Amino acid sequence: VSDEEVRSHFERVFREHYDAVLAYAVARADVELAKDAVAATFVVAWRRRSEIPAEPRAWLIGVTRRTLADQRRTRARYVSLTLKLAAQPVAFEDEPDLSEPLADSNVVILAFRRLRPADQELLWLVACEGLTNAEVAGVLHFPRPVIAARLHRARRRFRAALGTDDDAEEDHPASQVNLQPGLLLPIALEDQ
Amino acid sequence: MTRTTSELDRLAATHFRFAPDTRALVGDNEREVLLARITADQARDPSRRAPRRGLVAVAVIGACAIAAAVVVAGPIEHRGSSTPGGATHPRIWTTAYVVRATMAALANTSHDLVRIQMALSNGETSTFWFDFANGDSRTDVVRAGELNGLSTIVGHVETVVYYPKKEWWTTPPGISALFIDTPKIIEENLANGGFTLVGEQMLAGEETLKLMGKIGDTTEVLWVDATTYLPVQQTDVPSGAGTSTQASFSWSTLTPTSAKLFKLTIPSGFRHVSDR
Repeated sequence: VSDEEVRSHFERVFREHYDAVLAYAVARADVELAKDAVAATFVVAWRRRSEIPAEPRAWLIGVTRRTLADQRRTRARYVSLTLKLAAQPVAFEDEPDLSEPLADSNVVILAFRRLRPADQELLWLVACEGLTNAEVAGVLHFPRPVIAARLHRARRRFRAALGTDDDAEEDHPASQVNLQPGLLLPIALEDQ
Repeated sequence: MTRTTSELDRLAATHFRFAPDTRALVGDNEREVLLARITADQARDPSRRAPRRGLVAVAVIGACAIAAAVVVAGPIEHRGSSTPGGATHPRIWTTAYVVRATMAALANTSHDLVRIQMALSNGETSTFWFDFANGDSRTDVVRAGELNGLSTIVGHVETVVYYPKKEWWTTPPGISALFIDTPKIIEENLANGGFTLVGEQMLAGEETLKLMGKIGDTTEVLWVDATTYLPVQQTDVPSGAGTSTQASFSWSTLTPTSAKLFKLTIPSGFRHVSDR
C-alpha cells in the first residue's frame, strides 16, 4: 500500500467519522475540551494509520475515551465554568411545550440520570453510538461475555427506572415530569 | 445484536433529539485545517516502518523534554541547611522522597484553604478556592478581560452566576464535581508514578523542587515548595492542539472573611432561570 493510499484512507476516515467522534466527546465534556480530545484522537490515528481497523468508529471512540480521561487528570484543578455553561438551563419564558415526544424524552432523561455512570456509559455506547457488544468490549477493555452480562443488567435497571418491563410500557404523560431537555448529557466518566 | 426493545430505542431517540449539531460546533473549514495540520506531519508510521524514529515535531519535542528530564534526573543535592520547625530534610533529594513528601503534605496539610490561579493559553483566566474542611469551592472565570461567571459548590448545591446573560441558577454539581478536589487528584497522579525530579528552581523568591511527568499526551510540570512540599505551580502542555494551562497555588487557613467567598450574593438585576 503506497503512502498516498494510506493518506487517502486516513482522510476518508477523518471525514466520515469526525462527527461521530465529536458527538461522543461533546456528550462528556464541554465543547473546547471535546474539540481538543477529538484532535488528539485523530493525531493518534494518524500516527497509527496503518493500524486503523476497517470499521474504525469503535476504535476511535476508545481512543477518545482515554483522551478524555487524561484530560480529566491534567485539568483536574481547572474547574471550567464552560462545563456548566455549555448546557445552560433554558429560561422559564423559553421553556418549550411538552409535546408527547418531548414528554417521553423527559421520562428517559430522568430514568437515565438515575443510573450509575457505568450503566449510563454502556447503554450510551449501544443505543446512541450504535456499537455492537464486541465493539463495546473493545472500547471498555472487558471481555465480550462480561459486556453482555453488564449490558443485560444495565438494561434491566434502565427498564426499572423507566417503570417498564419487556412486555408492557406505561404511559408517561407530560404532567408527570417537568425536566428540561438536554439533561441526558453529560455523562460522568468513571475512573479508567 | 438485537436493538428492537424499547428502552434502547427511546434512549437513542432522546439522544438524537437533543444532540448538538456537530457541524455547527466545528465547521468544514476548521475541520480541513485540522486535517491538514495532522497530515502535514510527514514522519513515518511507527507501527509500519520506523518504530524507533520520532514522528511529529511536537512528539519529538515532548520526547526530548522527557529524555532531558531523565538525563538530569537523579539525586539532587540539598543546598539548604535548616528548616523551620526543625524538620529534617535529606541532604540529597530523590524523586521517590519528594513524591512521597508531597503526597504526605497534601494529605496532612494544616492549611484548609487553597487558592489556585489559572491561566489558559486561550486567554481565559480563572481563580479557584477550595475549602478542605467543608469541601466547598468557588470559581471565578474571566474571559477577554471580562468577568464571565462565578460558581460555588456548597454541600450538594452548585450556584452559577453567568454574567453575559445576567442569569443565575442552581444545580447538582454533576460532572463538575469530578474536577473539584485538586489536591487529591495531584496526589493520585503522583501515586500513579511517572513523575521525575528534574531540579530545583527559585519561584517568586521561594526554593522549589521541580517534578515532571507525562499524563497521556500532556507534559505536566509540578513545582513543590522545598520546605513544605506543597504544590506551588503546575503547568500542563499537551503535545497536540490542546489548551495549555498554568496554575499557581496559594495555601492558607480558612478565616471568617475567606469563608464568605463561598456565599455568593446574586447581583441585582440578574434573572433566576430554571434550576436543574
